[in-house]
Amino acid sequence: MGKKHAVIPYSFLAIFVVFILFIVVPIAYLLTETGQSINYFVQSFQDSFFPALLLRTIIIGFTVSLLTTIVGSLLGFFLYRTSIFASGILKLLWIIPLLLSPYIEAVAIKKVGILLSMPHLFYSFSGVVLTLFIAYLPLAIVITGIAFYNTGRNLEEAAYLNAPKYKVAWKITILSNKHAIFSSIALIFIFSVSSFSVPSYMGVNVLATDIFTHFAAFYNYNYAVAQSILLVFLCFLILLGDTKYIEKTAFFTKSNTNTNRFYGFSLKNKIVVSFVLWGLWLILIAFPIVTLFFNLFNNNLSELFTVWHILFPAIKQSVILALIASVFIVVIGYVSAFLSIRYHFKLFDKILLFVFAVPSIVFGIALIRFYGFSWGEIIYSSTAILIIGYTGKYSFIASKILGTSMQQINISLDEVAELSGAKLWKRIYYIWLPLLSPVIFLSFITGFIFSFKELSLTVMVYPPGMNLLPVKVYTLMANTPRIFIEAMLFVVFSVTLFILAIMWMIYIWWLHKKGRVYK
Amino acid sequence: MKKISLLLLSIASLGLLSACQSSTNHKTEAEKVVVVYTSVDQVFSEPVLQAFEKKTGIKVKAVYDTEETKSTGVLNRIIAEKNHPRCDVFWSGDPMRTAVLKKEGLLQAYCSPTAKDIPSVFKDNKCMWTGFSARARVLLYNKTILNENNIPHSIFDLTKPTYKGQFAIANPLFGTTTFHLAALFDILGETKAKALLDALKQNGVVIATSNGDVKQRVVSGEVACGLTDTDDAFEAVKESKDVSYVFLDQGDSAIGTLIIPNTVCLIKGSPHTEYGKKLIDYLLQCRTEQILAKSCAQMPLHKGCEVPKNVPSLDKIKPMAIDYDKTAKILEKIQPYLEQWEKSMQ
Repeated sequence: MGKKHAVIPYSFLAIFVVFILFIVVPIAYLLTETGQSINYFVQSFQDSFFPALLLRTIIIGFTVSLLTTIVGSLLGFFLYRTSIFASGILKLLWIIPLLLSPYIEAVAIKKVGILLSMPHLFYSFSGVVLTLFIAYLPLAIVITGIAFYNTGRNLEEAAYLNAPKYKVAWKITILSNKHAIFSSIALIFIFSVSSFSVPSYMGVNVLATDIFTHFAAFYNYNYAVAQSILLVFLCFLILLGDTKYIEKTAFFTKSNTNTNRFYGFSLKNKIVVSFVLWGLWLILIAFPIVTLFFNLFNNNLSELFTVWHILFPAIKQSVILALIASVFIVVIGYVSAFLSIRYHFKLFDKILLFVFAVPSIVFGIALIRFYGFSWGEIIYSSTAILIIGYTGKYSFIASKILGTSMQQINISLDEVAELSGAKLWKRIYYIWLPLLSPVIFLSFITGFIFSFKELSLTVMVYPPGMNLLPVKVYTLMANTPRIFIEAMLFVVFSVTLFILAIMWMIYIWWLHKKGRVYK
Repeated sequence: MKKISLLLLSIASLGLLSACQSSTNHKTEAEKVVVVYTSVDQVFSEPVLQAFEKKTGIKVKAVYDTEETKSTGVLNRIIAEKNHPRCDVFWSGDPMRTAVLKKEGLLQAYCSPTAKDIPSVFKDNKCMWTGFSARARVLLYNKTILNENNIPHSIFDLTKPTYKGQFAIANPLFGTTTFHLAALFDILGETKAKALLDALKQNGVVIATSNGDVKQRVVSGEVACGLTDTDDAFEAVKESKDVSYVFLDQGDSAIGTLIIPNTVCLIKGSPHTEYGKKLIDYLLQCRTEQILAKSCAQMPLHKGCEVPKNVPSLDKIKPMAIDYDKTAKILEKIQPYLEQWEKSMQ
């Protein structure tokens, strides 16, 4: 009933306008500034290597996204819908790669290659695919696994009346969640094609490395911007084709409808399946990480204390900054999702998607160019520029997390409250926030992880004199002994886990306080 | 719920406050502050800048760069900031990036009195930049693979079948490698240089991501040898007993090896020009060269600057006789060729 009457509140429109002014306008400014980009766009196709470069990019994107989603869906099914041993712990352990930078994972994979005496296999196309596969596998597991978890139990029970278990699992649980599977493919495709550090480290030329080369080696902004537009277009095409699926995906969230009764598929070979899942985790996740830190634990651990002393100021600043950025990410994500679900105003969501697809380095240049004028001093010379950058880059993910959860809330509650005269903020405070608070918390954690580890954008815009963790680690990595590098990576890894553990405990404490139980 | 809302509001407020605070700091400290952007590894540059801060009381606000972004972030920032410069001094690990800024018209001349006895070949004739503490290109080799009798002594040796697929260079589009290739074009001429690069390609040269990556590949024995800079070579020798290095082309009629000085320059329209000049003076002192010689075995350009025994003296190395400005111009010209050469290796 509310669709026709719903008028977008001015306060939310104001937030939308502020986002446009602070984040979209700088990108638009860069595009207009490099007005001749269209000529370079044509020029790039005249390069005899360009078709191969484009093809290689697309092949990597599809190979990684398909492979990751297939394996991730299987893992997601077993982790979220079957009763394997210690599935709760295993779910958390599979998330670990998401906490690390793909570049660090590339370093670890390379070390595995050297250890196995097959470095050439890892310094190639296959190395890029393997690294990105491991880096984004947690995304596929979570996206598909939670969708499987949310599958209507009544449908499965009805199907059980006349079908064997495997058929129910395949036709109902998995195939009815095609939207989640396609969403996983699309999102991992975007992450893979825009990845610069992994192909660069493995010595494979792709569109993202070519863009970087034109920026960094030739200082040819026009050419780089033209190619960036192509990359954004490629990402946009995939996402637009997938929009209807993405909108239905329970992205990171759990439906409230199935939390009362967990209904898992029983396994005949529970021991074998558990063994396989733990074995895969050991090979794909634990082995590279242990290899990365092997020398560290074989030597004097005092290096860790030195590193801690050096990194502590940077850790402190980065944690504070990422926490602040996460608040803005949640607010923007919330407003975008709310406008999309409650008022069918989807433009904000599309714009977030566009900003998300812009390569970090291009976004960084846009912010410098726009805020570099004297009137932008207050933003340019403060942490505000970093907060703006992180908010622009990662609000799309928060919007998706919150949006899919909002879809599962009965809008009539809000409409009735509105008819009875309740104002917007009261409705949000008493209806939406209590129902959404677990996912708000989850969006906050996601925003924190991505902001905390963001390097490309940070190095482009961080104010002089600031001490930030990603920059500090990567600058020190360039010319320090291997043992020191391993100690640094270990400290970063442990700190990230520690912060997330604290956040997780707060989350569990809050759920207990509200009389809910985490599953 | 209220507590969570309050927590979120508090964090957001803290964010705004810290942003404002940072901006306020910028204004209050404007009187005694210098902003330096550097592409020199932080582990080496930071102690020097801290020493300057301690000695002069001038606050140094530094922006460091990273290996992962090929140390080009700061240069792109300076170019992007050209309408409203924030940086006072750019300290580069090589003359090439400085040449880009000179070409873009982003530098202002400053002839530092402390650089008087630095040889003119390492200085811009209009004082747009000045060189100090130099590195050199060397061949790092793994002693478990190459014995003393078959170590290459010339870059041309790398085209021999003995070394097929056994040597590495960093990405030719970035860093000191690109400058090394430009220097070869300068000294050999275009035809001979292209022939050399083709021969290297035919002989299976391995393209690494960076000089650090070359070092790791040689240390791990993945390749027998690789071209890198002295700072990486010294780190490698510290890290493993199995590696050593050699200066190439040192014979009487040989072309010599490339010497790569650090460079420092003053940004045009810099907000703290006077303090910028003081920092430049400090960097160009013999004392700074000594610190860098100790930390990363860089060779002083000042005559008579005492350094540790393991640091080679420039007097004992035959340098490539190049003009740095001319080489920078050649580099610009050959970049499309290098790009095609690199892409053809895929």
